Amino acid sequence: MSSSFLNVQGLRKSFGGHLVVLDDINFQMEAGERVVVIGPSGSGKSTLLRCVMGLEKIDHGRIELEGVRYIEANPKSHKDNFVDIPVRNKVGMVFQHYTLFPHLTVLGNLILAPMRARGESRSSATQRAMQLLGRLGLESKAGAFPGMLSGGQKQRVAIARALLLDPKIMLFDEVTSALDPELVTEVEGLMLELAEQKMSMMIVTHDMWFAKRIATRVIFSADGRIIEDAPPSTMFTNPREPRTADFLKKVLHVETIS
Amino acid sequence: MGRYTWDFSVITANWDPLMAGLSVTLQLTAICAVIGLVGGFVVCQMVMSRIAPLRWVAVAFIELFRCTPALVQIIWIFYCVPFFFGVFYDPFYMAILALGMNITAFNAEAYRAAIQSIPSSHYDACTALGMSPLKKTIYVILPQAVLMAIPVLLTNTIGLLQQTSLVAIVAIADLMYEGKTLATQTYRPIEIYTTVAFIYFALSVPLSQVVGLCERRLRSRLA
Repeated sequence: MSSSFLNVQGLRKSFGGHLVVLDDINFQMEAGERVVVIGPSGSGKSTLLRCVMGLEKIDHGRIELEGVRYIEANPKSHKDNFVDIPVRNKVGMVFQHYTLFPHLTVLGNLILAPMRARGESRSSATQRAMQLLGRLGLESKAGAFPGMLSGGQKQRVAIARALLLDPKIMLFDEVTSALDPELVTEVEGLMLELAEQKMSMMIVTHDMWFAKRIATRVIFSADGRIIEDAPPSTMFTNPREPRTADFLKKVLHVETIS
Repeated sequence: MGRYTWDFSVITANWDPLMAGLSVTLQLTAICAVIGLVGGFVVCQMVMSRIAPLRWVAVAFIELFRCTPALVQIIWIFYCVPFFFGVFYDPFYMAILALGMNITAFNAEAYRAAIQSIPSSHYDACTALGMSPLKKTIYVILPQAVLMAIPVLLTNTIGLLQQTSLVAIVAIADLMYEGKTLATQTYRPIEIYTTVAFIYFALSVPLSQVVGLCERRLRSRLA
């Protein structure tokens, strides 16, 4: 058993048994780290996050949080992993397409899981939700339905919804990819605030400038493997692997960023 | 068209049987609408079930009632159910059985389409929020499915109101049947069928307006 905060061991994930998306991923992360995963489309970045969240059935391997195994491949079952749900519930995730529930107001979205999954009282959940919305400058939107919000506001509400469950680690899966460029900053700003509060994060993004700003560590993955794992200063200026350099050159249209 | 002298006194003189027929029509519609709302959801759950035999039964039920004319269904149930199963209820209940099963089949499809239109990311979001499959269904999937299905369910109900007129063929005294009887008795089919048509129209138009209103509100809400 490792003492790492998050420990992914021998993770293998395929679709239909033959399309291997993640191949023997071993990866550790300490509390307070902010790991940004970059790589070409189809390299398995999002799938890695989905596996850590427990949204995918894995073929092989296990995942531990704070030394407790909470996901393990279960060869006996064709459907499910072994999942320790209370531990998995310490992981929070925000998706590319907001995934706010359109039949509920902003407040309703925030208090749904605390009330229905955690058994918190409505008054207590509402109080905490309103406090959090206040901090994000969204309290006037508490009664609004998601359809009435801008993309940036929706994504900030989605982040707030995950934060209200007091996660130990937050996973961000391309959370700004669906946003208009002028709305990206408000979401990235919120993530930078969380970084200041030492929130542990795993982030998949195509925005290399943001990656450089927020990451304590950058992972370059391709073909289901981790090709390079380095601090942003090294990764973006002096990548060790030719594949990393090649990828960065393509996405940045320059040699390196400083 | 020759010179025809309209005489609507035949309507005022026979107001009572027409209203009695209308009452039967409304009762049939209301009862079958409720059966369809509940039954449709049950059949939809069966169609989406993991248990294959449940799926087969539900799919066979839906296809049977979608792929045969409602008129044939009514006549078949009216004549064949007593013959094959040795049961005979009041024709009114036989009509409820036939129309109720028909709208159940159509509503099941409306619910299914609504549930399938909910993005899979919502299921993921529920898992990420630590919600159990049951709570996910009750608090996230079901409310959205019902909201999204409302316009189609209401449209099906308008169709049901029109379809109740088919039961006149098996001598149930609904609006259409009373109209037909009066037309034969008074030799005034033009006035009578025009009035009957107007009544169906006047009942359906408000419902149809409600459908439009629902769609507009849902579009702005669920966008």
